[in-house]
Amino acid sequence: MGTESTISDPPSKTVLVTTGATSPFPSLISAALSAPFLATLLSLGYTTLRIQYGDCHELFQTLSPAALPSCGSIDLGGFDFTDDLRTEISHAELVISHAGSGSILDALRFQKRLVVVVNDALMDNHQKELAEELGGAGYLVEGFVENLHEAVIKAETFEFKHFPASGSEKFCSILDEEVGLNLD
Amino acid sequence: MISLLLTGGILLTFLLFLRLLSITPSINPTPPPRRPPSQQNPPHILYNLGSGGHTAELLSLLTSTSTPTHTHLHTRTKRTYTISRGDALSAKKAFLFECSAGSPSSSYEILEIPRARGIGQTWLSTPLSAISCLAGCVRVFVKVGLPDVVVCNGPGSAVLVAGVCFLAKFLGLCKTRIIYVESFARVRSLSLSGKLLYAFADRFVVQWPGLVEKYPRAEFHGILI
Repeated sequence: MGTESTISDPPSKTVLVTTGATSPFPSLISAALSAPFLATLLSLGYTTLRIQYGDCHELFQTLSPAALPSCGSIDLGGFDFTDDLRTEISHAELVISHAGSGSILDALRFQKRLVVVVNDALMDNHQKELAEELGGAGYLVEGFVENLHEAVIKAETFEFKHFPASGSEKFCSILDEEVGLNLD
Repeated sequence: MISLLLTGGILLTFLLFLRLLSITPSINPTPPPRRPPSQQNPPHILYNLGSGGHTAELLSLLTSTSTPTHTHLHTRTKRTYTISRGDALSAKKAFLFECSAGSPSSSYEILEIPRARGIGQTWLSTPLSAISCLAGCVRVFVKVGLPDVVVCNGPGSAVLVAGVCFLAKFLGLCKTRIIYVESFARVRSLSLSGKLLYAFADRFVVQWPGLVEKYPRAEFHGILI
């Protein structure tokens, strides 16, 4: 309403793909550079695609030139790791994340549209339980590397539930009880 | 003579067993202590930081220590942070956390202990590194004293830190209260550390309601991080 946008300054719409810092997730990177996924981003008006590829630098370097023709007007960029993923998240309209609890929580606390893709290559996959539970509660949309674009289309109109703020206050009360400093 | 020794041995074992029962919170829960305001020594809290996600979760649990209701958890306590050897990032996070609270550097320490088990380490060599971690824990307690409260979440080192405290409790050296908080990532099953510490923690806190059904000692108060 009150914002003024000029023709020379089109609104940007960013999608951030993050594979985490612990385990490589090459299939998510491939999916994020696939033609159907990029076509979907274009049709939904995304202007920027940022990919945190972790240890998969070579894969990103190999796939991105081939993906460029499909990118059209999308500005494609990648980086391996960052100290400050929260800033990246805060600039994004949509976050597509691996199922690590840290990344999920960061995206949810920023109240971002969130698609979570479980890394099936991980053993003892309790990450899957977390993604399913949060997905079932309406906080995020579960995605799959085979058809990532479908999850993005779903996320575009999905009514995400508001994620609660930190419950640290409650924990500090428990800690207070146990420390037993009598303050009254 | 032999029967006398045997009787003595059985009696001793029985008494030790009773001692064990009396200090095990799952069998004999005890209320937390009440410290009079006049108490000279500030209570000592030990926060066991794992690496990466565990550290982030634990420090996230503590964000409300900066609110007026809880500032005394900073200003009127002595704090120790244990980190895994070489985990500079967790050390930095703990340091920045204390800085943002404006604590004098004399009121806390950040100490390293050897890793209990590296990611991908074989189970065969785990006992060796566990022993070295155990020795590291003992060194920490010799340096800073046994804590009044231990706060830990999922990493392997939690089992050893809390385990050593429990042993010290058994020997009557301290009355450490153990608070275990299961990771937010654990929805339907406990982590190995959680399973091992379930019976020995004075407070066993989970962040998903489904776990309370399986583990009745667990407390659920919503997502705490």
